[in-house]
Parts: sequence; C-alpha cells; structure tokens
Amino acid sequence: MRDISQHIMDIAQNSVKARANEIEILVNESPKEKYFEFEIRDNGMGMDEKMCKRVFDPFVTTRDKKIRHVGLGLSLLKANAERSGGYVELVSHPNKGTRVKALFKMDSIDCPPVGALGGAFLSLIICDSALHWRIIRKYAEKKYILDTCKIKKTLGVQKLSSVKMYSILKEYIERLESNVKHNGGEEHGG
Amino acid sequence: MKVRDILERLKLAVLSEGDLDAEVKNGYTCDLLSEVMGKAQADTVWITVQTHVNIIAVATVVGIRMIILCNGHEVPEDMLNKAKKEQITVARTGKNPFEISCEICKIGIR
Ligand SMILES: Nc1ncnc2c1ncn2[C@@H]1O[C@H](COP(=O)(O)OP(=O)(O)OP(=O)(O)O)[C@@H](O)[C@H]1O
Ligand SMILES: [Mg+2]
Repeated sequence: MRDISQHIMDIAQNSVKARANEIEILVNESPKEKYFEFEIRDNGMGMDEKMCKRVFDPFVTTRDKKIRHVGLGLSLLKANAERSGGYVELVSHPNKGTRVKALFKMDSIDCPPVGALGGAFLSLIICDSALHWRIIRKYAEKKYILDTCKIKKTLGVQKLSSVKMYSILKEYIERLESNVKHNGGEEHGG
Repeated sequence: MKVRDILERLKLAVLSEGDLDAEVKNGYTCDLLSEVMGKAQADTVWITVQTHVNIIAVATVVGIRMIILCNGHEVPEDMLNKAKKEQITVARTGKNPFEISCEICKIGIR
C-alpha cells in the first residue's frame, strides 16, 4: 500500500467481504500530536479467537486459494503502522463483527503519506452503496460526518451508485475535506 | 539465467534455498511492496532492503524466484521458513541495492 488511504479502503473491503451491512470508519488525524489513527467497525460475520491470532500472517486467508493463497491486507497494514512506531489492534467476535484500529506516527520518517482520503471514502460509498456507511473524519479539533443513510434521505434517493450521484458526492466530500483542513469552524455533513 | 548461476557469479550468501534451477529473466529493485506487486514481472530477481515475512507473500503473488537482501540486515526466522516453503531463494549481501543491481546487470539480466 502506497498510503494510509489505501489501507483504509483495503481494511473496509474486508468488512464488505465479511457481509457487514453497517460499517463505521473513524479517522482521527492530529497534526499537532503527529499521529494518524483510524478504526473500522463492522457488524459482519466476525472471526473466532483462533483466527484472530492468525490474521496477521500474510499466508492466512479465507479467499479462494485457487486465485491467491495469501492475505495481505492486515499484514501489510501492521507492518507499515509498526514501521512508523504505531500499532494495529483487532477485536472480533463470530456473528457479531470486527473492529480494526491502526495508529501511525506521522513524525516517523517511515510513515506513509495519508493519500487521497476523500477519494477512498467516495469509492467505498459508491462501490457498496447499499450498505450503511458512517464515516467520522476528525482533523485536529474539527470534524465532518458522512452517513449514507442520512445522505440518501436528504437527497431523496435510494441509490448512490449513479453517475450523477458520483459527481455530487465527489464535490461534496472534496469540500468537506478541504474545510476540515483549512477553514475555521465545525461542519457536519449528512 | 538460473538462480544458481546468479548465486555463484555474484558470490552471495544463501539464507534460504529455493528452486535453484528456476529461470530468472528480469530484475526489480524496490522497497515499496505495493509497487513490486503492481509492476514487477514474473521470473524476477528482487533486490530490496525489506526483511519481513510480507515480502515472501508478495514474491509468491508476483512469481519472484529470488530475493537479494541488501545492506546486510538481520533476517527474521519466520521469513526464511516461509521462503523455504514457497521455494523462493533468499540471499544476503552487505552491498547496497544500487551496487548489487549493477552487478546483476553486468552478468546479463536487464
Ligand atoms: N472484518 C473482517 N470480518 C471477518 N473476517 C475478516 C475481517 N477482516 C479480515 N478477516 C479475515 O482475515 C483474513 C485475512 O485478511 P487480510 O485482509 O489480511 O487478507 P485477505 O482479505 O484475505 O486478502 P487481501 O487483503 O490480500 O485481498 C481474511 O481472509 C478473512 O478471513
Ligand atoms: Mg483484505
């Protein structure tokens, strides 16, 4: 993974694959304390204790082994977070869901760049727009929330996966991202 | 060129022996795993300073036959065990990635 945004997409896709219908992504970036933290919570199929201990092994996957016998998402995340001086935590319960939390130390010379966070949120929402996504993005003292249920309600639409919705959402998320990082005041999306 | 030929001609220390008769056609020098995964070709000798079990997983996906670890870093045991299982040869050198890439190029892999 080139950047942290790609890690977020990748780990969130695990939740999609685990057949979650509610996925919450919390992103907390502290430019002052120089850390970047994200947590992804889902209500998918979860994993038992034995599996939880093995998931950071890159040769462990439940994907079709004929296609690929490695599972890199969590292993690469852990290696990259730890290389920056941070960590990854995973808590999971069968039939309940999974929580993955990662912290990167941004003052480490080996910390990957954050990358296109807004773009990552957008593609997750668009690709699996039937799911309920709740994204809480904090930057320093400011934050915005993307809640796909609320967005659908506000816009009076059932689906977010059309070309028109794509450009509306793209512009909307870009604006939220730029506000949270540059302008004063708190803005709530949704 | 075979893995065995590269080992002999460059006089590299072998840490884990894979398929020594595997044919090597390309070289790739990079430490960013996503880049290797997206851009390196099969039948490659991979030159890197990364020493982590994840590089073996990446190598198996790409079809890398041989890995040369540079700058003489310590190598974790679990990485070598996985390399053995996956039949990937791992060698180590004290030289840096540029130096070893030049040597690989000189013996005919470009
Ligand atoms: N949110 C989750 N819910 C349930 N199981 C999960 C979750 N995340 C990961 N897993 C399990 O852990 C395994 C390893 O995950 P990891 O992301 O490392 O690799 P992968 O998804 O299998 O493959 P890749 O990420 O390379 O596409 C998965 O195959 C899956 O069985
Ligand atoms: Mg994955």
